[in-house]
Amino acid sequence: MIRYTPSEIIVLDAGRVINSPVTENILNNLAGRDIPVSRLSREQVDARIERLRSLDDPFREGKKVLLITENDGEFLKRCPGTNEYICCDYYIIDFAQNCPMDCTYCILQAYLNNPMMVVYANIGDLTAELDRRLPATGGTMRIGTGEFTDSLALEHLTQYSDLLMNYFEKKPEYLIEFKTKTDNVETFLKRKPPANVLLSWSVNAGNVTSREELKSATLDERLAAAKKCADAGYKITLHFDPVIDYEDFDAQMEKTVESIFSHLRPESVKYVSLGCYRFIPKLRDIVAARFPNTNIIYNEFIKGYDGKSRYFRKKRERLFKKLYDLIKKRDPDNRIALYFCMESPEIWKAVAGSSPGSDEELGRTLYENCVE
Amino acid sequence: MNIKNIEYIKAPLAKIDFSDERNRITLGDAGGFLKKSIRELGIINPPLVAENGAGGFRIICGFRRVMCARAESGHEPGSGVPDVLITCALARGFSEADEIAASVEDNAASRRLGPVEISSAIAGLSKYFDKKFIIEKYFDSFGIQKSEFAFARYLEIASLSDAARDAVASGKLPMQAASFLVEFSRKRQEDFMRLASDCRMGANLLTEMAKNIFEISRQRRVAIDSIFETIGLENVISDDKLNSNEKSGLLRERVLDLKFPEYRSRLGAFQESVKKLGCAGVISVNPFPYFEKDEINVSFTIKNASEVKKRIGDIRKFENSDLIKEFVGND
Repeated sequence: MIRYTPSEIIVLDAGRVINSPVTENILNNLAGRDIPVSRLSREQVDARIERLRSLDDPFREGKKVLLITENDGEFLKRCPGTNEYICCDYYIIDFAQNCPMDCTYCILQAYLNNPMMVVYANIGDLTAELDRRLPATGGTMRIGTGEFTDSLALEHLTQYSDLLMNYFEKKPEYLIEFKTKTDNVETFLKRKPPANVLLSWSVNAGNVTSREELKSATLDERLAAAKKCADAGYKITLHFDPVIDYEDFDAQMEKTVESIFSHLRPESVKYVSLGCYRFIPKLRDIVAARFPNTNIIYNEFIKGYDGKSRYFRKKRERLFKKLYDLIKKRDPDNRIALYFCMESPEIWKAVAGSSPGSDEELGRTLYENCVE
Repeated sequence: MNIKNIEYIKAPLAKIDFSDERNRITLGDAGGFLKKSIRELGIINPPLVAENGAGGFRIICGFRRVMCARAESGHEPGSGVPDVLITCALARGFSEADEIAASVEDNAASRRLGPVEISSAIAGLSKYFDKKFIIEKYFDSFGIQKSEFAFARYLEIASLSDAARDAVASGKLPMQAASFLVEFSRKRQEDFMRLASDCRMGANLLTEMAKNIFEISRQRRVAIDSIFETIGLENVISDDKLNSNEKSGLLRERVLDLKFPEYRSRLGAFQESVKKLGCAGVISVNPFPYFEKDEINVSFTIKNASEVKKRIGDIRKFENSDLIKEFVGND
């Protein structure tokens, strides 16, 4: 896949940003590329953001600008999840926002106020916060970096994951997961795999990947990268999310699952999540305007009890069942923990036969499957 | 625009060509206030006209003023009523772009334009000016959002059938419904407008129907024509046994069946199971919204002590019923 290169770089004029190793990495990696770099005050940055927001497609233009800035709030957050459905007790590190890929279904289009590509360079504050807060959590946590961005989309510029692995290597009880739709794995192949690192790929039906996950790595590229990492000794996790009711679903998913297991042995894959396409109502109009040719927002959606649009329950059961059975067939020894992302106990029982008693129970199961 | 070449003249009404509407963006006749003003004071603000090359004039802006003056004068060709002279501003050397710009600016400056008028203005301006220029220069005065999205949406209105455009102009068809209707063929737009008239559908229902029909076509990847056929629009509209409310209800139900096939089928099965219990009228039974949970809601009213026993008897019917087996968890 083509790696992201910004058309412009804005560096927030703040000591924590200018003197950060992340900023240094980015500027070094783009040196000689004739990309304009400006150092702006917070007010100037805000004015630029406002100008971008007034455009018809702020995201299209905003993604061309890389803003290196600081996070004044908390880096470590509990995954917002959904109270009414079963979640996996996950934590996230908010180290960057936005994504250079252009998946039609992406929730970030409705979620982010700033359309620029954003990297929080004050990694010293991040590690200080982790030092302060992690002990209070009691350990056995799964922490990811791919909630508000793709974990590895800017890795060739920032080497942020490398810096995070340096930190988490000394805290082996915490699992750190890097979730991606790229094949940007050089960082990982250069070092000895830490046992608490999970490398994770978002996977989907081939026709969904090619038509709806624009500018991402192809399924083959992702799986080839996953295989390299698995062969190097990394633990792999996979996310079928969003599962979309799409043309030729059964046959396409069969091919995807077959391809996954032709690249990866079940023992390399620690868990697989399944999450059906769901979205907040605001996203629908954005997708319709930005991607007039996609049909994914036109389906039998109902309003779930978290307020999000979801497929009608029977449809979710059918899609999940197909995938669940395909994966189980390729994993006869049940080495892979399969779980549903933000789903009801009714769906769990209908597809898997039983349901976790709580978010914590599910989180513990997934954690234990990774550290065995 | 070159405004230096304007000359004030007295033009006979008979020399003004009303059929040339190339610069017209207004709809309908003058309102009561304008008529009264012209009757009492005459035309205070002269219309802008151009020579038509045949010894007469065509109107650039001021259609309603001139039409109103003609109506007030009573003059029609061959009517015997003498012609009258009205003061006009004669534009000389205006390009076609100058003319449409003058028309839009004159109208937008004097009142708030309706959606169809905005659409006509944008369509007219688009022949000569760049999209960004139009958005920047005119959208504030139109009172609409300065965006390419709004530009496209209003421009689409110009492509609607006459009936649909009239309905938008009169407020019977909301802009949101119209934005779906532009995806329909002209014939289907006309058919759709018959829903409004023959079935007396209100604005909200029309919007729901237009949106659902459009979305079903995307959802099922079928032509909009085939959806009209599936719901049997022609048959329902021409069915004399149904009143307008029944027609409207029946078509809405059929569209919803296509939009939510699995949910509606499940709901039908649920209602059938409830019916079998034989408690209709005394106990209300509803599923959890969209069957997301295996739960049902049962409610009833007790007015006196003897009804307690009856309701308990009714509730006992639930045990081992299809309703419990199918729609409530077993553990």
